[in-house]
Amino acid sequence: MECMAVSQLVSAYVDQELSEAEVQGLRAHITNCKSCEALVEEFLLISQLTRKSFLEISAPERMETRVMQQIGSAQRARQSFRLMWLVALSAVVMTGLAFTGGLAALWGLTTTLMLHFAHGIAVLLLGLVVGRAGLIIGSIVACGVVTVLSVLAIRRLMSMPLETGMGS
Amino acid sequence: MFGGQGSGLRGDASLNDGHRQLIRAAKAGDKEAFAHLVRSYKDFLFRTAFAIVRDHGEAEDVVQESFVKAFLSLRTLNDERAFPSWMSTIATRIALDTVKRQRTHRDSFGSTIPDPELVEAHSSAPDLRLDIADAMSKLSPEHRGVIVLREVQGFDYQEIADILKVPIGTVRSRLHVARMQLRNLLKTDGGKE
Repeated sequence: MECMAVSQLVSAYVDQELSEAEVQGLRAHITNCKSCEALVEEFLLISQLTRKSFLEISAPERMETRVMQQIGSAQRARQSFRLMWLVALSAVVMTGLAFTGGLAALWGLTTTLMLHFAHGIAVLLLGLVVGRAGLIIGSIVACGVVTVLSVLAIRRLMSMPLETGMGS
Repeated sequence: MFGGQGSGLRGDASLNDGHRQLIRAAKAGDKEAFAHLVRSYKDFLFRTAFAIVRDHGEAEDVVQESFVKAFLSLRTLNDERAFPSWMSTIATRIALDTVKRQRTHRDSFGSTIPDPELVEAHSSAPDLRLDIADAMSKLSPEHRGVIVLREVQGFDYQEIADILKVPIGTVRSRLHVARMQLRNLLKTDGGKE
């Protein structure tokens, strides 16, 4: 293994993230290479220093209280948001219902009118056959017949001589 | 004991039964149980956030936001054992987003952030004597992120890759670059801090 190739592996070696073959190769190299061995030691030292440095850092004491306050606020905001959505959804549903209700009423009215119209036509046709309409039409025909007979009778009277009963 | 005062290294084995019960109770909406979890994990998350944003106030905001987000979406966590890495994921992403916003803000005002290449180049200067915290501050947020997730929180490469949503090769590479930069920053005349 070349030094350049080894230096690329040192970080993963320190983290124990190398394969067994890579570990063997790196160990074989650093036993004969002081600079690469030094690099491994430096990386190990950097790891220790970094860990030590950060483990001294702590979150502020007030953190917990502030987090819980924010959670309370966030929950209230979320509830308000949900409520707003519920109201909006209800409004949409109500509007929808009103609209569909109106359509339904209009449809009902139209249907009723159509039914009445159809009913009327049917009644008229039925009446023509067996109902009052037959009587009316019969009366009209009878009137016509009487009129024609009357006209004929008047013409006959007009053509008769006038001496009978008129000359005394 | 995971996440308590003075501790920081994570591990599924350290997530004891008490914590699992607390997580289950918190999932059911028990705020008192969640308060216990906040007490246990606040240092753990604060270190991660601070490592990335490098500011106490900002780190505090990041941790608070992380806990609030965690509480509100806790029901989506199926496996209680994943709680530490789940919390770390939330905090790391919020911290990186915060840094991104800061970058945009600074860039818009013409400020500069140390370039890792320049940092490495300047590291050979003999009078450069920085402690580890100062050296960390010279790294990019992405490099600080992998360092803290590995060194402080103790996640393995696969877990870090999952948390950062990057390939495992990127984690390996970032850790290598970050440590090389730290080494160069800490070196003075061949000596160590």
